[in-house]
Amino acid sequence: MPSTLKAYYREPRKVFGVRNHVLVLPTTLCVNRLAETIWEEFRDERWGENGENRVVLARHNSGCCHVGFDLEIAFQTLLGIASHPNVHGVLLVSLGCGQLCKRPLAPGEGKDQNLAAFKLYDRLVKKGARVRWVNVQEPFHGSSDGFERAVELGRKFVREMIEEAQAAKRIEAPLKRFVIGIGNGASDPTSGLFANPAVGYVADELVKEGVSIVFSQTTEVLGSEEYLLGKVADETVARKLRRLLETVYALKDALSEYLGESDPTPGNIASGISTLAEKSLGSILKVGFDPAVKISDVLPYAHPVPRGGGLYFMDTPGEDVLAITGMVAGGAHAVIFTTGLGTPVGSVVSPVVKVTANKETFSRLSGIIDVYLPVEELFSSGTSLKELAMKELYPAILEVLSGERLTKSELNWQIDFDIRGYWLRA
Amino acid sequence: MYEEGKGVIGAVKPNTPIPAWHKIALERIEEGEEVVKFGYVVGVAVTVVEKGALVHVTNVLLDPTYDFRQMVRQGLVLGIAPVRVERGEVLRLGVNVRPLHPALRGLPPRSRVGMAACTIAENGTIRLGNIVEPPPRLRRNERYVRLVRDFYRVLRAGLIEFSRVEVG
Repeated sequence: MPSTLKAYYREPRKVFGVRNHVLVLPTTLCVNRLAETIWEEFRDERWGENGENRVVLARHNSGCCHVGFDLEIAFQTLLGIASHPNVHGVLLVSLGCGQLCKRPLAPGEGKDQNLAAFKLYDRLVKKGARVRWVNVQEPFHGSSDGFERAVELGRKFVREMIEEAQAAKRIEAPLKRFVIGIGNGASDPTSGLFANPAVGYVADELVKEGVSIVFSQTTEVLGSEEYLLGKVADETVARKLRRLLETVYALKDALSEYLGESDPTPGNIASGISTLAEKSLGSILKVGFDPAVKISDVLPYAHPVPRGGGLYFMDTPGEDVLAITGMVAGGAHAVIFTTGLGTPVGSVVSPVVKVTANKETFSRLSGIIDVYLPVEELFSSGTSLKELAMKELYPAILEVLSGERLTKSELNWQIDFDIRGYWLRA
Repeated sequence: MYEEGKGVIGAVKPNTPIPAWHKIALERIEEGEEVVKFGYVVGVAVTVVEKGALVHVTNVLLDPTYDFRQMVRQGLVLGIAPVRVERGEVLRLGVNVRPLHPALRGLPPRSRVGMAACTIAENGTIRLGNIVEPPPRLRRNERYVRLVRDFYRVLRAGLIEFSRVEVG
């Protein structure tokens, strides 16, 4: 197995990226349309050996009127996605009056007036990210149509960044510089029996190669505490995990009054799931089987995942787009995602490799699913699931990472991005 | 029957109809015996399950001893009270607290652990739920708990109505 692959090196940040995108990122939902207008101009632009790089747009519904720690989460997610290793440069599009919108300072006004925005800008610059900023409310002198000027200015910045990005070449990078996220969604019985364990074998192999693996979807691990608490590295991690699970159970209890939903759900029971433990274990097997691999840390939403190997758990909702966004904002270069019923989900800056073990789903939805595990071979030719995973899935991941293969999510422009929110907006 | 690493290792004849993807008993399971799938206990048989029978919600349940929430809470058990503790009494290490939680190990004897919020029976557990003023490093995520509480208070006050969609 090769322990290196071809990737883009970002000198100031000392990171390797598997894509070389230019990102257009609104800092508040008010300017989603403006950001889209800037981005539309570059929709057909592609560069890189296989045309795997392009201008991507991260639309979202956050960035303004947040209360509680929603602002922190929005900040952390925007910071993570804007400084993502797969991003060559980012254009931040802001309105001017939002919590995360940078605006020009009036005389005598201090930076503290707009602290979060300045923190975002400063942190990005400090990280060495290539960042440009367009602001709608900026007084564009000599122009009565400031909005049109903002569009022009944004397109000029993006054009400059594309030209720089086109000059970049892939170089050899050790596998231990990469982070891969794993998740599952739109599951069916084939997910728990075949697809998730197959990803588990691949995850074991990747950790052995020095890749950091991150998994998430807190609501879906409830019930597999026996497995998880047996897989933690030390007592500190165990304590973090228990505290998190206890909070989620409390929230679930509080919510059940409103939702009235049982777990496992009637749908789960109809498809053969009998207990919560059985349900969660089917999902958690994607984490791997190697007893030497332990959960090194429990991370909050969108927080950076340490590179250099190991297994990490991130607290995210069970919903696919939010879970993937959290892991990608944490620095995941790519995501392996299992599905049984089929889902088109993708991510704005990272490729999402979708895997299924359901032959019927794959034949119906091959336009959105990347890898089919031919599990019938387990019974016909005596191959083991591990061999199957290493033959069908592992090489596909490496091809995607080195840009030789585009995932269906990328081909379909599945630039999904959304930020977790807890509370009501003011 | 398929086992990873060994391949197909035999077959079990169903003696009841088994819907696609549902579970079949590979051997007779006695009442009260653990039901194992994926190598982990997923529940306990509440009745005898014959070999070849359907294993599902009718005959397997999560036993109370496999209450996972309980398992999570066990992490917050601080210790055992060797003597009966009255409400309001101060809990001190070695006096009326026998420590179990790792965070309490290494503290000097007679260290204050908190104050009993209710009567704790002899040999009863001391947990974050029945004491007040626990040591700072054991406090829950207070900020989160407060935010959740305030949020649901607003909901209950009826200031927000969930929009209910009429179906059919």
